[in-house]
Amino acid sequence: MLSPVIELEALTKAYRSKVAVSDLTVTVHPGRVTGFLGPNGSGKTTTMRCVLGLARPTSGTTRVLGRPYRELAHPMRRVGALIDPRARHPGRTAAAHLLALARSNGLPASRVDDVLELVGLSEVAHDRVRGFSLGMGQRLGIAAALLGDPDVLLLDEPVNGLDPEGIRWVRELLRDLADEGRTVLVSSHLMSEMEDTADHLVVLGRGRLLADVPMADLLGAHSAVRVRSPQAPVLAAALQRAGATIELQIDGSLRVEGLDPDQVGDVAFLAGVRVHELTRVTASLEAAYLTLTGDEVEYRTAAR
Amino acid sequence: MSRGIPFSAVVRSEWTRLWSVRSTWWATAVFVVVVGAAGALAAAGTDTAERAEVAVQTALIGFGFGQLALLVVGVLAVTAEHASGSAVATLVAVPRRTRLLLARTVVVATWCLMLGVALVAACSLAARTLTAVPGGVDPTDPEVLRTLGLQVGAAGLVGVLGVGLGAVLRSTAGAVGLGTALVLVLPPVLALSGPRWAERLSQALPMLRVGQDAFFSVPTSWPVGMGVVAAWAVGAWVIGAVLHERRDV
Repeated sequence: MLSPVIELEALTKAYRSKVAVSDLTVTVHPGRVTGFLGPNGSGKTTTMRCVLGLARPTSGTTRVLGRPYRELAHPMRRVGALIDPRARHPGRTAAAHLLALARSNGLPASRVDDVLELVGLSEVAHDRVRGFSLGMGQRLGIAAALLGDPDVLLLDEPVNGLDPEGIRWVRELLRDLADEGRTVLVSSHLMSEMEDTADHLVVLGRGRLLADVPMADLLGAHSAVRVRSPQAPVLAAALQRAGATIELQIDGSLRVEGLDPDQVGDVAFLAGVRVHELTRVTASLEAAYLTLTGDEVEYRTAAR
Repeated sequence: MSRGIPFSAVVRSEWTRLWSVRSTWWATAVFVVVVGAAGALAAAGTDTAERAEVAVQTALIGFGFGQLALLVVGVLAVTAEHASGSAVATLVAVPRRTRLLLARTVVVATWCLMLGVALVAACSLAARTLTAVPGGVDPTDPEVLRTLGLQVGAAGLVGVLGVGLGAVLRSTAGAVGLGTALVLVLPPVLALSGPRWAERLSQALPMLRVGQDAFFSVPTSWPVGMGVVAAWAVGAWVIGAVLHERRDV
């Protein structure tokens, strides 16, 4: 595997009243989209701010491309970041906002037109950003992140406020960037946003690491087999003997965990049981995520 | 690989930031109108003066209030970034913070110095044409030049003071308020309040009118006045730079 591009080592960030991130050790690798997931307040943004040198860790270290972010010689050519879609002066035009950023890293002014075109904001380039919607702000933020054509992208909730077309566009963009071998770390509090995009997941809850797994493994760990048979009790007993966990569903089918569909079919055959349906059930990512984060939600709604 | 981004690139970027917001142009317009109009009125209202530098000093009266606009330019260069959140984007692009603040200060000070030069030229022209002085007002007279130069230097320093206070307080209202108190309100208030210690204290504040005519305040010699203003500007800037480096955005 290629060497890690973003490295967090025992990162801890405490504010006066609470610990936002606690002893977080994670590495992010190139060539794939890493989804950074967690409920609101779980420390995702704080972690990204520490990586970008915007906040100082209480303890622990963060490195990007082998060194602390503040020591990068050409930050925008190496790393593009979207942290806050409102991170711009309301009285400045979109083009001037990007031009100031481009000049600060010695990038040609022509890049401003390029990225505005790419994100679809060319027509409002010379409008003051005061009047921009949240979605337009996100696009401008993504434009800023792409200005230096960076190797590494850190995007905090980039699809917040985007319309469905915009969401699809961001997904495809992230996919393409990762396929070009770049490192993409994208945060979200919604699992559904990650389903088609991320290859790898880092899940946070209350500032602690809950999971650091390939997407496929997380899905696999929570998948099951659905089997329907007119002789359900006989089949259930046979499957239990084979080591599976059985759950009788409301429609009379069995939900089998611990065996794959081939094994379930073989058990049924050996037990001489007729099978009417045999399906692999992939847990929705949402369900897997809720299982992981269920106890780690910071702001829970009161039970009714 | 090259040694990184040249400082001039950061300066150019800060120059783009300065001109691309309307507040800069409003503050500049206020400065030009206040200082220019006050200069013309003061020169027109002074029929005769004994010496050329006295006539010029009278015409420069508008700098007393007008430089508050330069203070605002300096303060806003920092605080508008934090109020709007654009500091996040800026610091991701330029993570070396003291370098960033230095570039911003260079741009603000240059702008203030250029405005100062333009306005002292206009004011001395007003004195030359509107006030009768034995021998006339010769702009190359060393006394006149020193008076004009002090005013230009003070204009640059008040911009630096604004940047420094903005970086320390990160609040537009707080920094403009404190800056106004330091340069405009407290010196005359202390000077008029009577006690000897209050007078001394007022001399230690960064008055905007440097030199013998201290704008309703206790006069000091010009080297002392200039030293006091410079010390406040540099002191505020250094504290601001240290805090800027240490604080989270």
